[in-house]
Order: sequence, then C-alpha cells, then structure tokens
Amino acid sequence: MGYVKVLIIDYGAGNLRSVARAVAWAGGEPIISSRPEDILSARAVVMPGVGAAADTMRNLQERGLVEAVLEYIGQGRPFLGVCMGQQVLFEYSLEGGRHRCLGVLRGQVVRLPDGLKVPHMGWNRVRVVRSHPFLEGVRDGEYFYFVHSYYPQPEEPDVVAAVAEYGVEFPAVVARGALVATQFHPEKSGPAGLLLYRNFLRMASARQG
Amino acid sequence: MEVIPAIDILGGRCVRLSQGDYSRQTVYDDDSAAAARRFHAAGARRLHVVDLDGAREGRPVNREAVAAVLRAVPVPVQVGGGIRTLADVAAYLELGADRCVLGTAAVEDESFVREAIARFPASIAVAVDARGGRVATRGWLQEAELSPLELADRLLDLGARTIIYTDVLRDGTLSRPNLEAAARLSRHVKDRAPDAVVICAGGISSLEDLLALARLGVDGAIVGRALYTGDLDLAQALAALTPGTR
Repeated sequence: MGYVKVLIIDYGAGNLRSVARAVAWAGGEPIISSRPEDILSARAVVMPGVGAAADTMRNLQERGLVEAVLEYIGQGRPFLGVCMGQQVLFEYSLEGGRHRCLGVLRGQVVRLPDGLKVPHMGWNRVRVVRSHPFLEGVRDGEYFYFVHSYYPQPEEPDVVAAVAEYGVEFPAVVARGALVATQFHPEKSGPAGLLLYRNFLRMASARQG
Repeated sequence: MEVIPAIDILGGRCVRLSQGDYSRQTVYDDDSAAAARRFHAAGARRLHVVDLDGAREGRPVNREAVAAVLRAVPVPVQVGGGIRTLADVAAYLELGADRCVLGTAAVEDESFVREAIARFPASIAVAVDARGGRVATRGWLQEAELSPLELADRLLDLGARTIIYTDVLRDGTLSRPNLEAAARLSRHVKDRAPDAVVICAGGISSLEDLLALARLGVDGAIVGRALYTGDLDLAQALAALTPGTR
C-alpha cells in the first residue's frame, strides 16, 4: 500500500501541524490546503478544528469550502472531523447563539452541563458502543484527550459509535459509512489516537482498492 | 492526578537548574526531543516544557528545541518561558502546543493575560512562582511586591482557570514539596473558583509526595529532576496516580 494522501482542511483554525504529524505517523502523506478543488480531488479529508462554531462556519464560508465539503461527504468519501470538525457536521450549534452548521448529521450541539469544570480538558475514558472499522483494535475504556465545552446531541442515535461521560454521556465518536468524527483530539491522544488515524487511512486505502 | 514530566531547555539542551539558579545547572540530555520520547514511552500523558533562556530574556529563544519536542510526541504539551505577546502564544499553538504558560506576563501585563484568555480560552495556563512569601518573575531572577495568593486572586479575576504553582526554593532540590503551601494555594483557588485546575511543582521527588499532593485535591504535579536522576520511576508513578491509563 503506497502513501495515502490525506487532505487536511486549512481554514485558519490552527492545530494543523499536530494533525499533519499524526497523519504522517500513521503512514499517510499529509497535504494542507484551503482550496475547494483540492478537497474534491482528495482521497481522504481531515477537518480539524478549535475555537467557536460560528467562527469555524464563517471561516469555511469565506474560503468557499462549505460546498466542497458537503459535496465530498455527500459522495460517501472518507472524511474525519476532529473536535470542532465534528460539531459543525450537525445542523445547529448553540455556542454563543444558535448558529447553522453543515447539517450533514441531524441534531444540535449544546453546552456541557453546569457543575463540572468547563471546558472539559483532559483524558477521559471512551466506551465503544458499536463496531466500526475506524475503531478497530481500540480497547474499550481507552483514554483519549478532550478539550471542549459543547457536545453534539444526534437525532439519529445510530450514528454514535463511542461515548464518553462528563456530567452527561455524550458522543465521543460518530460514524456513518466513511464519515467519522471525534469529539476528542486523536492527534494528542498518544498511541490509541494514532491507531485511529491508521484505521482512517486503512479505510481510505481499502476504498481505493 | 496527572503526573507531568518537565523538560527545561537552556542553550538548546535539556537541563535542570537548582532553585532556579542559572549558575547551578545539570545537563541531562543534549536532545530535548529524545527526553520527550523517553517520557512518552514510559506513558506520560502530558509534558511541561520551559524555555529557560526565554524566561530570562522575555522572548522565546529555544523555539526550535521546543518545536522538536512538539514534533516528537502525540500527547498534549504545555510550553512556557518568555511568552509575552499574543503572537508568541499563537506561534506556539500553531506548532502544536496544547497550552501556553504565562509567568512574568501574568504578573506584569494584565491586559495581555486578559486578551490571551479571551482569544485562546482553553489554551492558557498561568504560573504562580513563589519564593518564600513573594512571587518570582523574569526567570525567577526578580521578585514582585505580591504574595502568591494575591497573584492567584488577580489571575482568577482575569479569567485564568489553569494555575501552575511552583515553589522555587524546592525546585530542582529533590527535597520534599512544600505541601502546606500547596494545600493553602489549592484550597484558596478552588474556594474562589471551583472550576479551576491547580498544578503543583517544586521538590516533588517520590511516590509519597505525589500521593500526598493527590490527597490535597491537586489536579496535576510537574516532576523534573527526580525523573532524570531516577529517584522517581515515571511508569510506576503513572500507574499509581492514574490507574487504568496504561
């Protein structure tokens, strides 16, 4: 299997180098780009993300990336959303108002409950609730690294592949076919996180045949 | 409680100072990234990196060595030393740092701290470095007219929620941590802001020290010299303090 080229969407969100490094570690060839045509011709796409949902959507819009991302995902091609890159896949985010997001998955993104430290920053156990190639080899109860204040509430429960608990049980991994997304940062989650990048690359190369 | 190995960089090399004294340094590794990889291999889930030249000069100096550490390990790394501007913060975050630690700036530049927290809310930690009853700044070469608790109050008011408390006189000494002072600061901070994270450093040199800090409700402990001398075994400490992670 040759190097799988992995397109990492650059929309001014930072955090790109950690993701690029993880892709390279996993045996892929990271390419960082903010051009819609690069997304459409990619074999695998990662959308990282830090910051607020509204800023993320505005950044995507300003660069003309929304259409490309929707078309790419709509074709069932391998896509990995990380943290904010997961949240914007849903219809709405309630972060700082009610903001329309990509709407690839049904449901909205809400704030973590009061009473615990928010943002939720740290290592937390993840429980796998459904088998998926992306999660192959992941030990149940494995720790991953989270930094977030909001979490998605999917309307279709079958998209949830793994959950974590922080005051409330929330989706840690959502997956539908070749579309996968994590609330945690796999690129900062040690060997278990790198395993997810390897699994994602394997999904992408299997597709290529 | 997180056990966080420290990598202090002086002249590009991985060193430990004693009580922050730049003239009393021990070089432990010429390659900081190699030290990072060793800690990661032992199971570390976060690293603490300090640019000691940067702390003294008030600007990032060992950026390349810090970047090498950031490239070396896929776990969160917090970086401090000479970070005085939003551009410094943005540059380290862009390189893959998980948090930037503001020390001198936390004492001397309130508006910068406020702006940095507003712009990067989950990515800023502040240092409260105590020498005796006073706060130490500028590579611990100066003292401010401020007690550690007063500084902690001010930083909480500015919105800081991750506080790294270092007892300078214990740092690098392999003595015992000042548990009374750590308890006082941790309790004070959490009474005022239950959502704050408190990380302690300075003189932590045994499993007993770590367990004592954990009992105080401290969220993290930074360990330096004891890991390099072998007084403390990292894998063993991690297993005792964070069961189930490995």
